[in-house]
Amino acid sequence: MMDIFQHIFDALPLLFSLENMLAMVVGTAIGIAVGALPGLSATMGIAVLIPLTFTMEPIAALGMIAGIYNGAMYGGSIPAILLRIPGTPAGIATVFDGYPMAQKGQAKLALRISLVSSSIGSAVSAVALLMLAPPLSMIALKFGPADYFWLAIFGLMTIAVLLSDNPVKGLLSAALGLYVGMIGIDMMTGIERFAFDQLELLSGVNIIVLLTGLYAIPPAIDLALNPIKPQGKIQKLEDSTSGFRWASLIPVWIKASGIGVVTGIIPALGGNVAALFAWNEQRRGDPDKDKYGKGAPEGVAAPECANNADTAATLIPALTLGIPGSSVAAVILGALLVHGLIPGPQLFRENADITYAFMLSMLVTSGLMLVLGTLGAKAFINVLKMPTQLLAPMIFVMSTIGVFAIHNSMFEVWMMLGFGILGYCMEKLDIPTAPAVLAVILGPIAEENLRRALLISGEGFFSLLQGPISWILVGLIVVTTGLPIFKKLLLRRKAKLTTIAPKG
Amino acid sequence: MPRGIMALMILLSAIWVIQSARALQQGTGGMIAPTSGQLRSAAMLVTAGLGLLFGMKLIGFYTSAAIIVPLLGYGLGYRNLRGLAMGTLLFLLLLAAVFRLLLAVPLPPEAILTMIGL
Repeated sequence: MMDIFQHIFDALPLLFSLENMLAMVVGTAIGIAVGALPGLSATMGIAVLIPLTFTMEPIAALGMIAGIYNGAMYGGSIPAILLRIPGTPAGIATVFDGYPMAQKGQAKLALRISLVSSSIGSAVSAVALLMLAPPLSMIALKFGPADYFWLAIFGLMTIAVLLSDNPVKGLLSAALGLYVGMIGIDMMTGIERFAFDQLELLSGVNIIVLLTGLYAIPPAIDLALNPIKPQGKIQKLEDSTSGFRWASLIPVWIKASGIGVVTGIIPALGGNVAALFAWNEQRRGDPDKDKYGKGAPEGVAAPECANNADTAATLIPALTLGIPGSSVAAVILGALLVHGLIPGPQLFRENADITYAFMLSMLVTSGLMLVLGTLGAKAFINVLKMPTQLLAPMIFVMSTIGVFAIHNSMFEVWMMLGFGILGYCMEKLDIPTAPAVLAVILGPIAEENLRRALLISGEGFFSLLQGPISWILVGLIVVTTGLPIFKKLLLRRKAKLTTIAPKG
Repeated sequence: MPRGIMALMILLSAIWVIQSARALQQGTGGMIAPTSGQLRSAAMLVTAGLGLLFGMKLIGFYTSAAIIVPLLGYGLGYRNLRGLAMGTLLFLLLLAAVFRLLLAVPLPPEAILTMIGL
């Protein structure tokens, strides 16, 4: 434990340099603005803006990304409260009570509650990351190649199976990602795989090209084809927040941050699940259930605190094990890779200063969010007036130059567009894109560790099941994969019983 | 390994095709039916995309973007000319500040600047 505090104290001075502070302020402001724009998400914001961080020092770059991530989660509540349109999927639950509050003339109070709750959620999440990630990375150091193989498979299967209503679609997406991850020269054998004699494909597909394609282009196409036109007027901020009893929200924040942190750690869930779960739990536990959905302040505090408490917690498995549990964690992992940082337990040993500074930046940006959200409230509300018809070409142009900036390659720009169209088609066909991205990252990890385990043991595939960690992971894979089948069987049984019941 | 992945993809695709055919037969499957407006917007998007990528090499990135952004915005239904001009200008200034001044990304030369000898 003392080691953790020592690392934190060592990282603090690095974080508070002018450049890093500026990066965090800019990142948080951009994040709030991106979140406030309906149709854009934190994942998309980070994916588009990673190229801007190429020349930055890693701490400044990661601080900026932390700001975007935290800011976007709060930003999503602005249109949810003022326009009844959630800015991000995580803002859906905020609409339930946020918009009725605004209709009652309490728009300013609703926004203030959302901001304070988001900041508290983010801060709790960052503390959880700082306290849980280092010990977990120590445990991860005990993992052998076989354990890592199963861990990668577990991460992949969980996302693929749980993220889609139809597991076949999730698995198909994961298989596509494995295919893309294999493109290039096999480092162990030197054999070309799926490169089709293209020189540009020999070094594989750059993760930023894939991320920009899958996360920036589909929202741009969607905005172009279905421009968002707010139905009503933006609610005015004329009320006062001075008479509100903030202390009444303390139990809400405690419960919601707990929900957010736990949801964040579990793969395949995410901010929207955390927010909906927290809102529902808040309503369930309140004796006065009727007030929810009609403008209850607790109904704004709970989801906003939970969706922000999910942010840093999502990074716990990503940073310690190198296994991202969500698409946004995968994008952040991509950003780490761009700056030469390899996620996993070694990150805490080899780049302890940068890693702790990044985790601290999640905490600092939660405070910055409170300051910027208060000072710039009116400016962020004006972002809602931005025409989406103009936003679509801007995202497209920005993605083009961003990807071109990686290697000055037009081939990669075309490839990004190809992934963009593929991502849009996948979204329309209800095929989740997250398993594909995770598979691109996890596929090579799984393959490398599988080969290493087989080479070290020389005993064939049985060597993959020799340690207790491997068995636990295999058990988890079976449970995760079996869950949808079990759910389907239960539903079928229920349907059968209801059809039999009237006859009896 | 690559063969295994290809086989897995084919198998999963086959299962999905069967599932979709069944759903269509039972009338539970949904159809994607774009409106004529969406098709028009899609055509504009493709034209603009190709225009930007080919224009980037021919007349330069910033010049292409300065043409494509307002034209596409207008085509997609944003008719405030002042807003289009101001939005495009501010956006291009921001891009130039980041990618030209900060990152110094070597982009294809701007034809207009070359013509006037800059």
